[in-house]
Amino acid sequence: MKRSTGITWRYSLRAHLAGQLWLPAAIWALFIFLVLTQLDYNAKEIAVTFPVVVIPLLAGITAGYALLEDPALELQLASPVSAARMLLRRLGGQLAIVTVLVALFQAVCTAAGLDLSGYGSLFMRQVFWMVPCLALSALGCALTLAFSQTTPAVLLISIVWLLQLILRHWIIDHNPARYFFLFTGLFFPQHPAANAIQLSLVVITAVLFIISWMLLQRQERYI
Amino acid sequence: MNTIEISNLSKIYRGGGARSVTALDGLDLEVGVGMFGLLGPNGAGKTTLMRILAGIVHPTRGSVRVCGHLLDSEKERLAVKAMLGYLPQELGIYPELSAEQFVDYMAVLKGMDDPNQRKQSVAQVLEMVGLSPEAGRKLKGFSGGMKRRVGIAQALVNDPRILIVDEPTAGLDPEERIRFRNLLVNLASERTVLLSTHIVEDIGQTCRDVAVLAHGKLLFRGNPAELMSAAAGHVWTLTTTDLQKPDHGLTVVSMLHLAEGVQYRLVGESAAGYPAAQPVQPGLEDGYVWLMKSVGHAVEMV
Repeated sequence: MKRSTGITWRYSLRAHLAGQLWLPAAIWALFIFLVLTQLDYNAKEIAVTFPVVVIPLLAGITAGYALLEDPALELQLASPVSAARMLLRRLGGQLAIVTVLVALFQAVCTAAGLDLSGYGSLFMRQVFWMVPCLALSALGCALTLAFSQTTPAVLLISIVWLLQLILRHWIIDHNPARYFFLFTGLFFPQHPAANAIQLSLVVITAVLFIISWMLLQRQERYI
Repeated sequence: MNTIEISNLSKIYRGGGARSVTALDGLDLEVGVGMFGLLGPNGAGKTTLMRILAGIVHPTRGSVRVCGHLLDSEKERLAVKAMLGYLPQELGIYPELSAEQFVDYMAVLKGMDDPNQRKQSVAQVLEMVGLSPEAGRKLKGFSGGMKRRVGIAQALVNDPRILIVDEPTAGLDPEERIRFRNLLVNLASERTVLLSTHIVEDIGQTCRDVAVLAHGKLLFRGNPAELMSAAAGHVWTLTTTDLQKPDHGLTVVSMLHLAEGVQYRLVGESAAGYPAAQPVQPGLEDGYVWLMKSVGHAVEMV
């Protein structure tokens, strides 16, 4: 790691990430409140909903904003930073923020005595939130760069997210639709295809990131 | 020795069908060390050329070589970006950062990894642009002129071999403009400074080499004196009490209200329609206007 990575991260946080922290932080606080007040009811379900369903949407939206909503974008594009590194820096910041939020959230849930083993092993519970989170982040990047605008990309991500929630039973019952399903970890953690679905999402994520990288090289589209 | 070599450069922005716009059309240009001025009306292609040289925009056709690097791959563009200072026309800033932090951030992006060297360079460029006393202040409290100075500071922080400045004096007060021009001239003693502007006076005061662009084509290449002398015999002053603005194919470059009437400065093919018109020595602005008129570009000054 280069010596300047830390300072770049600090400046990125102050310059353009800080404003994007409020929404995830507010929703995090809301879900903590809900878990702690619903311990006698459906706290477990709420505890899994936050990382598996809510965090991917937030990651997708903030990933879109992280790329192009930058007042000094032209200066950033004129700097000797490759498209791959720029993508990594921008998304690395976003993903670090959501990872910290989820880790803190899970720590609070554990401290509250919630047993979430019904939603898979500790490792699988991490996979169940991290994979959809990366998938929607990659979709957010690719759509933002394809449209050269954040708003339509965010709208489309929200529609994908909503349709997956509403049509979850149909999606999980049909091939190949099930291999695009994001929320296995909440609704069908014991599904026989759960692992294959995560693998498929990882492949889709990789393809979307490659598309984003290719699009980001065409810098003139964004100024 | 040329630091920038541009050959048959074209750039077409494709908007689908008739919406395609040709920003640059077969441009050939060579630029060496020193101040180089780029003049032209809005939509001439100046900003597109600047962005191509900065490695942000990709040419549709032709080749661009900067300090020996052919800008045809990401690797080459990154190599050029590392030796470049760039001040865009619309400078975006991070309002929550101080001037010092902003310039330091840009230095980091330019690959200056040594913190001590970076600190020294940041302090030095802020001193050069006269912002040392304000270095710790957040940019959100800066005036337009101060923001431009921060912009030039970030462009200089990596001691660039080529400095590209697009409309750098826009929004500056007269004192700041003079200071800025002098700074650019000093910098140009050992590097290439490419100055794009609408303000003809800025070019006349600073550049020994000028190119004039219109509709993406090169109309003129030479020194300011040549541009001025081309207008010899085509510039007059006319003092009149007539309320009607002079016409007869003449362009009014300036007008001055005097006790004896209005004094017009006119540029055109002939002032035969105005016997009272007095021929005068052309200035650079007259040269620019005459060039535009002579190639058929409409110039409406007043």
